[in-house]
Amino acid sequence: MTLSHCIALSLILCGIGIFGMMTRRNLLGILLSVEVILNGANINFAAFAHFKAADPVAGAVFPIFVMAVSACEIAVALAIILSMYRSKKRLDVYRLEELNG
Amino acid sequence: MADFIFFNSYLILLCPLLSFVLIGLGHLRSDNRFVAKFAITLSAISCGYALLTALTYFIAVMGHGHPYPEKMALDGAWLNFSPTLTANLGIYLDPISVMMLVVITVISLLVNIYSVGYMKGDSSFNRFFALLALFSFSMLGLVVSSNILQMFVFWELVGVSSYALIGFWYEKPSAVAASKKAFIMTRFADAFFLLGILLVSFESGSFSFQTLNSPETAALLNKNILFAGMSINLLTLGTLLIFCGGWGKSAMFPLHVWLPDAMEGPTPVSSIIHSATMVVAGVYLTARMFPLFAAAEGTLFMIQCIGAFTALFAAIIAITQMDIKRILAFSTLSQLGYMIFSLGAAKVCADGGHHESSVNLLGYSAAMYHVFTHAFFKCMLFLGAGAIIHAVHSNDILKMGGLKSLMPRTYWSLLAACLAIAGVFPFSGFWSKDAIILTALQSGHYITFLVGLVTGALTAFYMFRFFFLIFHGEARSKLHDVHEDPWMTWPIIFLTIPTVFAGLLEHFFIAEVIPPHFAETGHFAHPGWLPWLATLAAVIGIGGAWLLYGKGKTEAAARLKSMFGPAYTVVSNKFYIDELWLFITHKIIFACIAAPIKWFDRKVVDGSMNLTGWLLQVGGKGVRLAQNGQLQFYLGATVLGVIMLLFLG
Amino acid sequence: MTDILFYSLAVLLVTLSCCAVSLPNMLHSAIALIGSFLITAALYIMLHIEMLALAQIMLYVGGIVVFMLLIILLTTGLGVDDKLGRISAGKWISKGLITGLLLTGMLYFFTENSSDLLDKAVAKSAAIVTIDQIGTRLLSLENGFIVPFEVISLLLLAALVGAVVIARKDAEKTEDLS
Repeated sequence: MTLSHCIALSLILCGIGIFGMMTRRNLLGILLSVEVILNGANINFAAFAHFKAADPVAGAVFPIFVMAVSACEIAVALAIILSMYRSKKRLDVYRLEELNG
Repeated sequence: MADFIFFNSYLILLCPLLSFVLIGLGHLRSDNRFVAKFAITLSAISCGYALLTALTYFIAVMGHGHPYPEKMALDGAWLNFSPTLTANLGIYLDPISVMMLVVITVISLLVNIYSVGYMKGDSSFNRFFALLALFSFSMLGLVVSSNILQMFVFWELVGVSSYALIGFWYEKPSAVAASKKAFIMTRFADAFFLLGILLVSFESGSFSFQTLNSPETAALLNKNILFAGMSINLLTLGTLLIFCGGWGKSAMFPLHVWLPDAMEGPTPVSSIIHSATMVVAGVYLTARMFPLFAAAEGTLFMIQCIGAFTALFAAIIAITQMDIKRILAFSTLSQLGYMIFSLGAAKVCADGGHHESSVNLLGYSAAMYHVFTHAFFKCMLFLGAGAIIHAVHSNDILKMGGLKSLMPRTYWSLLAACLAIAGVFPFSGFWSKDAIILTALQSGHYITFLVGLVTGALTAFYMFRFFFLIFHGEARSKLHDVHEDPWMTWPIIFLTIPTVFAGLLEHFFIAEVIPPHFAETGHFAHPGWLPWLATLAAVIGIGGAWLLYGKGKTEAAARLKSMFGPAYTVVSNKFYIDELWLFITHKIIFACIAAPIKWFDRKVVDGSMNLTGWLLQVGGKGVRLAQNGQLQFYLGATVLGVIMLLFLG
Repeated sequence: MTDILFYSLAVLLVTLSCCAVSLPNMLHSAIALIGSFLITAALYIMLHIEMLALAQIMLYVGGIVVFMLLIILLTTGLGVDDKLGRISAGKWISKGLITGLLLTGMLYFFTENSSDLLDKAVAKSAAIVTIDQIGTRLLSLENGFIVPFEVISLLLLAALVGAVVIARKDAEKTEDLS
């Protein structure tokens, strides 16, 4: 378990998340993929904190902030999705093209 | 004191300009009588000041002997093209400009008075006076210009006034066509004029007449350049190009066709513009640039040929015309030809080598003298014709006749004018025409001399044909209510005075009116048999007219006409020059030059603009494909952007 | 020993994440996400930062994913939405390519440009990070994270209010009962 292994793992997770964001047709699926990305980013922080950091506490505190922000973001995003579901009755990203043109 | 009067001579120009602006601005609402009085008052002020200036000039300047110091009354820098080339605005007084000031303002005043009667009841009465004032301003500006660029500006202004006045009755399509023809033709000639101005001023570094007429400029320009494989003398080219302005404006052949058509305008317009003042602008220009023209080789000779030809040509056509104003128009053309060839004949023919100077200044003086006398009697003839038209309500002389008893004042006045134009002693025309053909004889141009004599006989013939057919015999058609309007008659009567007595000024003109830079005049023979020969020619002409038309009958003439048959048809159709011009413009210029250019403009220039628009539209449609509202498409694009930054950065 | 553990955990994590992003049934993918979060917590413990593991389980698993499950059940029922599972093969390949390119790009970028900071950082072996250390650092004024701490609390408040406002049903007209 070296630093590069952890970084590779984190990169792979981010890649999976980005792939999911671009592929998923359901809005909620996109949100799930966002969570995967953030997860990968947190692992990156923690790995650096453990292996290389002069100040490991910072590497531990930051993921906490990331989690908090992620929570806020999920809350608002899900609220939006809820109201959108109420007005449009569908959550298909392919159909949501009011920005067309 | 004299300088004070000269300095304020801009008032002469200011009064008509003020008249134009004020009447023009308010002409929709003011009443006719006020406008007429206003116009006449300002015109009278201008005339009075012009006479005062002339008197002052005569006393203060001409007493000092030759050569006269030219008086630059005003001179101010106007356009600085480059450090070495500046165009000024100024008033330049020398014998010919002072003379023209007097002529223009007097005739303008008389025509203003006459127009009150002629244009009575016309719905555009006020506009007429405004335009007349504009014309006076422009013409006055032209004659006192101190440099050639300023003269060109006023030249064009005069053209514009003429256009506006010929097409005054713009509801008539013939008037509109005539005004367009006049303007386009003179404008076409003015393009060459401008080329000449540019050429001469570029080489000599100045626009001012004083510099251009000096011998230094002539020497500077007198070099040959190679152009398209031909060696051309710059001086000849420049002066010929400048003369082109006069070619168009003074209606020399073949650019003469606009002048007969310009008779579509009201008669006061014809009398002031197309007989007395505007058409002599070309003569004036040549006189103004005379030292430079004289120094050029061949220019004056060419001018002489053109003038002589036009004189004869117009006289021949005038014999056959039936419209009262057309006869007078061709007569004007013929007299203009006289003036021009007189200036041209001032260059002594190289064969007559026993004269010590190569310039015969009598040509210059005679031309300007003829301008002076011609202005008065031609104006009077036109005003009389206008009175007749007003009385008879028709332009056709075949419909007139027997007006002697009905319009006596007009009869006697016009008799004086016809005698003057025919060149009968002691009327003014005799003296000026005599001086002109004397010039031709003295300079050794014998052909021109003969042409002048023959044209003189023809002039007498057609003028008296005109006179007899209108006034003598019985009325050829029903004439009702023939009366003489006093507003119209008194200017005509007043003009009789200069017509009869201007001959007294002959010695004055020949001695005093000479161009600058020519100190001594050559000594030429003055044959005593010449006046007799000229009078004989005039008498032959009058006699011929009396024989054919004396009793006001046209039968003898009709027989003569049928004898000549086809020749008569050609001449009465003005040698088909009008048709030739129409052919050139329609078939050659429109079809071969204008049509391809129009195609180019529509298809290529407009097409490229449309192409740009079309490209933008198509491009926009293409770019719009990227805006499909698909969230994941945008995400993919963002990631691609990040990749590109990673790889390129 | 640690290596084997690490590799197996990593493989499991990647598999679960792939399931989370690709399963057509939303419920299944949400549960796969829970699994990946739990594995991540295990990884944190392996890295000797237990605080993060605690926070991960409490916040992510206990809060976020539960919320998502709630909304999934509210909107798509039992999470089955077969129509939305259909994605054309072309899209899979194109998006996969893009992601692969991104990964290679990042790897390339980060290996080419080595950072001084990284090299000079002293390798502290097995630094233990305790919870009270984190707590003290969060609230300390010098070299601490007090400001982000306060800002985060504001952000949470804003998110709370915002979520309530956005998700609120429009006020219905009260009927006049007379």
